[in-house]
Amino acid sequence: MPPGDFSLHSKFEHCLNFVDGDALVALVDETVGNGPCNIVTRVSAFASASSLQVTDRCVAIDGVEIPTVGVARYSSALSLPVPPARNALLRRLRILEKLLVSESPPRSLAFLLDTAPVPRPQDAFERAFRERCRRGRDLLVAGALAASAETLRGTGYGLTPSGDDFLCGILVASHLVQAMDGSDRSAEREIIHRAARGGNLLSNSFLRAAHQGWLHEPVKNLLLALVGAEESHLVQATRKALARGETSGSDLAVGLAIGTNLWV
Amino acid sequence: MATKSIIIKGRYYDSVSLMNVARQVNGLPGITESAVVMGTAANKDILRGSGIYLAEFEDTSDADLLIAVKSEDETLLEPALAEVQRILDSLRKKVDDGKGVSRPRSLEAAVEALPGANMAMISVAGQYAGDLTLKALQHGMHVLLFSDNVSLEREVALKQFAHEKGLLVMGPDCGTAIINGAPLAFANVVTRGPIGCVAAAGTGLQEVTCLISNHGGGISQAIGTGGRDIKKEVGGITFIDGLRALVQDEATKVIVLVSKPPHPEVMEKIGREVTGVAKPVVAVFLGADPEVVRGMGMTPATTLEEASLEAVRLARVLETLAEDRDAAKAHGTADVPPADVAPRAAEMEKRLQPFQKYVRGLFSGGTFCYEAQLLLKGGVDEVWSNTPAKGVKTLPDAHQSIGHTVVDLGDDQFTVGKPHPMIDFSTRNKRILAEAADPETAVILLDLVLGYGSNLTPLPDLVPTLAEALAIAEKHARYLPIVCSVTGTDEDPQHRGQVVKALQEIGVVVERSNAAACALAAALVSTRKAGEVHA
Repeated sequence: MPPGDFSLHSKFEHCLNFVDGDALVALVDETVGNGPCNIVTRVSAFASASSLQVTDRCVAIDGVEIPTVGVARYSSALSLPVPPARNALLRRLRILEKLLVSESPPRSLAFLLDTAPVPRPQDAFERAFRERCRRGRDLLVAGALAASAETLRGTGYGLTPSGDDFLCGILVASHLVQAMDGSDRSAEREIIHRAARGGNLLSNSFLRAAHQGWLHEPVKNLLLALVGAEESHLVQATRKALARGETSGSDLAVGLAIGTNLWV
Repeated sequence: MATKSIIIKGRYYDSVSLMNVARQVNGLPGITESAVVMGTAANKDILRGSGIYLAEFEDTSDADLLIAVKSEDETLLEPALAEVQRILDSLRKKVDDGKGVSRPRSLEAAVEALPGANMAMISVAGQYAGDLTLKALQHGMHVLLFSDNVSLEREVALKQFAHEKGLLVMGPDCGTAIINGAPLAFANVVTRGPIGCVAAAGTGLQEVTCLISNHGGGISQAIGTGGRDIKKEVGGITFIDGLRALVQDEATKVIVLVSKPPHPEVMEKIGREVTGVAKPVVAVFLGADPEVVRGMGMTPATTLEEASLEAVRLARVLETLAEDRDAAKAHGTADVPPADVAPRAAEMEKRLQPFQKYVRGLFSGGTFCYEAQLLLKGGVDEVWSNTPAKGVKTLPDAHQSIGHTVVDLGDDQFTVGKPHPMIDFSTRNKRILAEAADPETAVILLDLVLGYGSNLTPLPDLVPTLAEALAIAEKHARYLPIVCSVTGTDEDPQHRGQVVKALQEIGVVVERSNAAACALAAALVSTRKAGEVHA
C-alpha cells in the first residue's frame, strides 16, 4: 500500500478510487475484496469521501484517522504449491475456457477463445473493436509481444478498457508459467508492460501490479485452483473471478487462459 | 451523412454501462452509428476506422469520454446527444445516490433494483441456498433453486413455508423452467402456447417442451420441481402446487406431468388432485403402470415423446372444438410417428461384425438415461447402469461398461469439480472413444441437449470425437452406428437444425427423440444375444 495524500478519482457502487500522482488506492467493500492497493471497508459509509491519507500507521478518510497497526494485511504475492504436471494444467485450462465461454458476461473478450460463439456486433465500433482485439491476440500468439500490447492497450469501452484487462491477464499468465516451470519470463513481462502502459491511470496501476505479480484475491484464487490439488475448486474460483467488475474479470481471465496456453 | 460529438471530462463509467448507452442511442430513430468510449489512442483508431472520428477528439486523453453520433438527418444529432447526456446523468445520479449501476450482489440489492419482482433464481453453494431461499420467500417471491446439496429436511420445511404463503419452491437441484415465456437455467427457446408442464425431471421437461414446440404446439408454463419432490418425505408439495397453478392459469389448456414414478402416497395425492381438474392431463411417469395412471383420470404416456405428441393432439382438439365440433373428431388419434424401426435396424445390423453385441448409452441427461433403461430392458437381456431403474443392474464401476450399459454422466461421480456434461463434453468424449475401441460395442447411443445453459458450441466440441470414434471402428473393419437424439429447437442459440445436419454429415444417425433413438438401438441388438456369435 503506497503512502501518500490521495484525492478522489472515480466512484462506483462498490469502490472509490483515490489517486496521488500515478499511485492508486481503492476503498472497496467485500464484494470487491482484497487486492494489492485495496482497503476493504464499508464503502457506503464513505460515499461522500473526497480525500484519503495513507501512512504506515493509519489511513485517514476526509481527515478521520483509522489506525491500521495490527490490522490483518492481505498478501497479493503468488506462492504456488507443488505445481501439477503440464497435462493436468492443460486439462484445467480447457475447463477454464469452457467456463469462460459459457459464463462470461456478454460483450467481454471471451470471443477471443477459439471455441466461443461470435456474438453479433451492435455497431461499426464494436465490429472494429473486435477486429482489433483479434489482431492483438494473433500478434501475441505470433510472438510479437510489443506490437500485441500496443494494439490492445486502451482498447475497449469503460474505465479500464478490455484490452488493458486482457494484458493484465497475459502478465499474470507469465508469472504462473514461471512459477510452474522455473523459466525466467521477466524479459517478456518487461516488453509487454512497457508497451501496455498508456494514459489511463487505473489501467496503469493494474498493469503495474500484474507486472509485479501482485494479484487481487479472486485472481490469485483462480491461479491456485488452476494448479492446486482440488480440481473441484476451479468452477467456484472462476465464477468469483468473473464477478470482478463488469467485464474486467472475464477479460483478465481470457488473457490468463490464452497466455498460459501460449507459454506452458 | 453528418456526425456530431460531445466530450465529457473527468467522469468514469464501467464498460457495460457505456455499451448499454451506445445500444440505446443506436436504437434512436435515424441514428446510423454511435460510439460512447473513453478517449484512448486505440479507441480513437477504432473510431477512425468506423468513420465516426471527429477533429475535436484530437486533443482528448485516455480519461475523457468521447461520444459521437451519426445520421443522414443532421437535425437528429442534437437530440441524440442530449439523450446520451440524459442517460449518463441518470447513471451518475444512481451512483451518487448510492443506488449503483452494476449488477446487484445480494438478494436485498436485487429486490431494491427491481421492486415488485416476484421470482428469484438461486444458484449458490448448497450450504447457503436454504437461508437465501427462505429470505426470498419472505420477500414474497417464488424461487427457482438451482443449487443442490440442500438437505431433505430443509427442502420439506422450505416447501411447506412456501405452500402456506402461496408460493412455489422449484428445486433444490431444479435445472430448468420456462415461466411466462422466459427460459430459466437449462432451458430452450420454445413457442408459447396452451400446454403447461410440471416436471420432477429436468431433461425430461426439456425434451417434452422441445418436442411440443417442434411439433407445432406451444408452452404456457414449464414448472420444474426438483427430483426429490415426488418422494414420500416431500410429498409432492411443489408438484401439486404447480399443477394447481396450471389449473388456474387461463393460458394453459392442457397439462403435462413428467417424472419418474412418484412414491405411491404422492401418486395418490396427485390422483386426488387431478380428479377435480377440468383440463386434460397427460402424465408420463416413466416406468409406472399406465393403467394405474389412467385410473386416476390422466392420459398415460410411456415415453416423453408420446406425452408430448398427445399433449399437442389434445391442444389441437380443444382449439378445433372451439370452432368446429365435427372437425375436432379428425384429431381422434395421437400424431405419433411410426415407431417401427425394424427395417432400418435390420439393414444396420447386417453391417455389424458377429462380435458386436452391446448398446453403450452415454447420457448427459438423467431423465434420458432413465428412459433409455426402461426402453432397452424390454428388448435386451440384461442392462447395466450407474443409476439403475427397477430391473436394471448396478454397474460396479461406472467408468467401465458391462454388456448393455447405460451411463448417466451427469451423476455425482462424474461431475465433482467439473462442469455438467451438458456444458463440458470432455468426460463423455473420452468414454465415446473407449466404447468405440471396444470390439463388443454394437451401437453408441447418445443424447445432445441444446438451449440456454448448455454447451454453446456443441459441434466443435463433439464432432471431432465422433469422427475419431468412427475412424477407430473403421480401422478395425467394424461398422459402428452412433445413434443420437438432439433436444432443442431451431430458435435455440445452437440452432437444432444446423446441429442435426452437421451430425448427419459425419454419419451419425439422428433420431427425432430420445425414445426413438433408444428404440432403434434396442432393435439393432435385439437379435444379438450375449455370448452368441453370428455367422
